Amino acid sequence: MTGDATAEQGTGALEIATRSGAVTVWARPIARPEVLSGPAEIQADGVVRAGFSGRVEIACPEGTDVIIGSSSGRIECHGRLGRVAVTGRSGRISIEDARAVDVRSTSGRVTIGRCGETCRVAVVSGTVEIGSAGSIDVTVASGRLEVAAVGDVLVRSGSGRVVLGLARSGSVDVSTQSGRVTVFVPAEVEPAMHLVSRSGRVQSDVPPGSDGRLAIESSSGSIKVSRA
Amino acid sequence: MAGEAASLARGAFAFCDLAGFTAFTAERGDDAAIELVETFRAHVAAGLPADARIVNRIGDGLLVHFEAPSVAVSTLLTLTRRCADVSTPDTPLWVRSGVHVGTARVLGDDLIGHDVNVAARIGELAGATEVLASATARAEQTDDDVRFDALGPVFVKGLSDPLRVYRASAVDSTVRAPAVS
Repeated sequence: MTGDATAEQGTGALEIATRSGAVTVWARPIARPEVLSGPAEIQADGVVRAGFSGRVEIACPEGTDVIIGSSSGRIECHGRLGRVAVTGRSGRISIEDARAVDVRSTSGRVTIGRCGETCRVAVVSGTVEIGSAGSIDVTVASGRLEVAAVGDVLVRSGSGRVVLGLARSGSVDVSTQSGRVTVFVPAEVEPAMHLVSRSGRVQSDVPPGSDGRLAIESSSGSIKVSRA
Repeated sequence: MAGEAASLARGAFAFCDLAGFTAFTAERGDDAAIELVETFRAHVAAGLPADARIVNRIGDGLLVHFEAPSVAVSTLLTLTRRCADVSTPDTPLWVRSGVHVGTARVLGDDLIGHDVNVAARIGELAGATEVLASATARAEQTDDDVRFDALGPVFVKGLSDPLRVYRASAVDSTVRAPAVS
């Protein structure tokens, strides 16, 4: 494997590794990956390799699994993709629409538009924004997490605000050190609730019931559960 | 030279630490941090097989050596799960680990070498309750109950070539479910 950027499609997934530089992937109604820009080429065995230190754009068939490793630089995935895994140290990461997501980054902003299945994100420091996801498994050591619409939730956060909008009844498990947690529950959903903060304020205007479960634990952060 | 006299250690090297430890220490203070680290170390020591040992301790970080690499990933998954099961806001045992298989030189009680460094760099990529494995660690794993998801060729600090990294998970793993009232 070279130290420069490479992309290959030998395992069924489009794999891209870049030390620096921006990577943009477009999901399109095409039969095979194409290099749109940047000094890259598709080899006879279907492998795409590119040595570069600048921006590269690759188009791939819709539904393709994409795996991207980056040291730094912006990562963008547009269109409907399969499983998207991105590992980066710094730089903004945005994924428009994927079946499943696995993103980890040391620092930077992570934006996920839509994820049909599980959206897994691990960020040391940064902001995570998710539009909709079937379920999320998110770790943020320091930073903000906002999710507009999600079913099942597993969140561990050190410091930083957590805002969750539930799309339905489900299993919600949130544990934080110091961040404030706000959860919006859909109308007519009345979950079983376990809300505990050692020193923060706990508020809920949603009556407890048996529509799924809502477990939120915080050391010092406040907890608020409201109707959406 | 000392390096020529140093013996060779083979096996799996794992770096484990606690996600969110910095925030926990800032929030709860040094005494609580010590208590948390002691609890973490005790759980790890109790969960290791006979041929594995904690080589080094640096704050909340542990370097663990497994002589039999085939059990490293599954052992770490079990340890991680046990810690998560007893985790509370006052004792957030959110273990994260990176594991790699190779060789290292023995320096006193310590292990030194490239493969140890690789394990450390992989561990830095892990989120809370995650075990990440290199390709060699994945290849050595013999337990069919462990699943590996590719995270791709990843560049890490200090290494010119990217590493193939995988997220390991137990096939039967489920989300911890605290009791609800």
